[in-house]
Amino acid sequence: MKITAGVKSRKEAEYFLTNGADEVYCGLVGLRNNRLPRENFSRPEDLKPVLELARRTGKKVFVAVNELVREQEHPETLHLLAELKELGVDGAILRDPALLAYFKKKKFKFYFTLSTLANCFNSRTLAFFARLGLSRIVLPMQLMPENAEKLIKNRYGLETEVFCQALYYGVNLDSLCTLPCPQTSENFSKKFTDFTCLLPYSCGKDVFRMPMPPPEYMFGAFYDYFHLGVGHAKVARWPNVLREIDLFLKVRLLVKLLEKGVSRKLFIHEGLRLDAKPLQYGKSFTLKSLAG
Amino acid sequence: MEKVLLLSPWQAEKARPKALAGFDAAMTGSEFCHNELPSAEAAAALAAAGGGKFILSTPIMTDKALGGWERFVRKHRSLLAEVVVNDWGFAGFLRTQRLELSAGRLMMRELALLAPGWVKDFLRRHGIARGEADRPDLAEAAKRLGLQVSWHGGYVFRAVTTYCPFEDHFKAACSLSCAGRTLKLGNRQLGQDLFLAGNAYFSEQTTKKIPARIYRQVIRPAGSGPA
Repeated sequence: MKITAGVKSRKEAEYFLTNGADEVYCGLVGLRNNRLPRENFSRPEDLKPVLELARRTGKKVFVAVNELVREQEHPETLHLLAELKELGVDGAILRDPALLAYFKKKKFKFYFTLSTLANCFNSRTLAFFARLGLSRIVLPMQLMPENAEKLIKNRYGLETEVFCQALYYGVNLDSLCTLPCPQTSENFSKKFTDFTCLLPYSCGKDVFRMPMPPPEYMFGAFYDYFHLGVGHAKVARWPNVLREIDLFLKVRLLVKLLEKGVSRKLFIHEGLRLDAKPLQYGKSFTLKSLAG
Repeated sequence: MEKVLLLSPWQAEKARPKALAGFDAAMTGSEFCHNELPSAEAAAALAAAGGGKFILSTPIMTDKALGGWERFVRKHRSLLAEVVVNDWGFAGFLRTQRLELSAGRLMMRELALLAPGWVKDFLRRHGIARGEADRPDLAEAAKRLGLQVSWHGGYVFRAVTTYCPFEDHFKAACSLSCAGRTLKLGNRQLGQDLFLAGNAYFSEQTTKKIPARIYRQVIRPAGSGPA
């Protein structure tokens, strides 16, 4: 299983590519993606050292265009992606069917990955997107292996990618959630102490928290995804890079365990030992990057 | 303007002819939870109460749930006045059934932001003539796309999960323990209450004003929470 890590800077890309990541992906100003502008590379030229390192080490670099893109921005997005392809970028991560259709119409071929934000939960929806020209799909964070077999063993030859859901999980479907969120608001922290989906809510005399599956179940899901043949594990871009490195190192260790062939029971046991408080991702949404 | 009564599948099972007095049709199913597939009894009760036909709401669904919804549509095709669709893939299946379609509240949130040229082609190819809306901007977007607006008053959709908040699982089968329950959730930071119904969170609409030039109004029974 290959590991894909999200990065915000050259230095972060160097760290992940020299510490076991097989691929990195990033945002670029000018390409709509679901992170704040400050988390993106500024210009295509800034990617050159990352691409050179990737070439030297036999690794890959992708860019994220994982938001819906306005029609008037389609030509510019195509122009920018063509420039990045020329520079050596290996592909793009998208969720917009209209943009994919535009690229198809313009005969622009690239390695396209369908983002988790596209909410592709079944094989009919996969057929809908596959016709538009995909090479890989990132399964929805809220899709579990028992419901994903047809997507993994798909008839289009698409590669598949998953998050390690035990360590990184969205409480609600990200792209359809309109609750206030630090991912989409510069001023978020002034008003909210945490992700609003992680806040405690009063419910009569009780306290309600939006539910998450237990970590045992989620470590089991990651194990099952590996054994179903998912080829890529994703460590998402994270504002706080120290937190992302922590996640990355844990995922790297979990993948090694899987490749060693440990039993499901032992894998879950080791996963719980590795992170006693998994899914606490909302506590560290402060921008801490490795500059450069 | 048409008036449609929105019933949960368990309310639909108990529907009597009087329940639909003053309404042009009934709507059942769910736009959010793939486990809220109406029963054959619900379909029969609504057909009997609503002049022979009803509107079916459908959610985003996994492969395991998809089979059940497809079977329901095939079996009750002659009773379906229209299907509200939220899943790109299921829309493809419905196109083959030649049913009248409406873009659901989740799908409308995407259509409103996608390239209009592509969206209009998608709507034409799938025979989607209406759009469900619970926010004025979505109603306006639907009109710009040439869709008739089906307006859901009272609550606005905010978020949805596939992990059942009432039963703690992802399964495409459940005991419907959410039936008839709405949880009111408060947190001062948010500044407004949330309402959990099934697997979706809603908040109250900030205005009771119904947008101009809408085709139909979708109304829940008195005392019912969001759906």
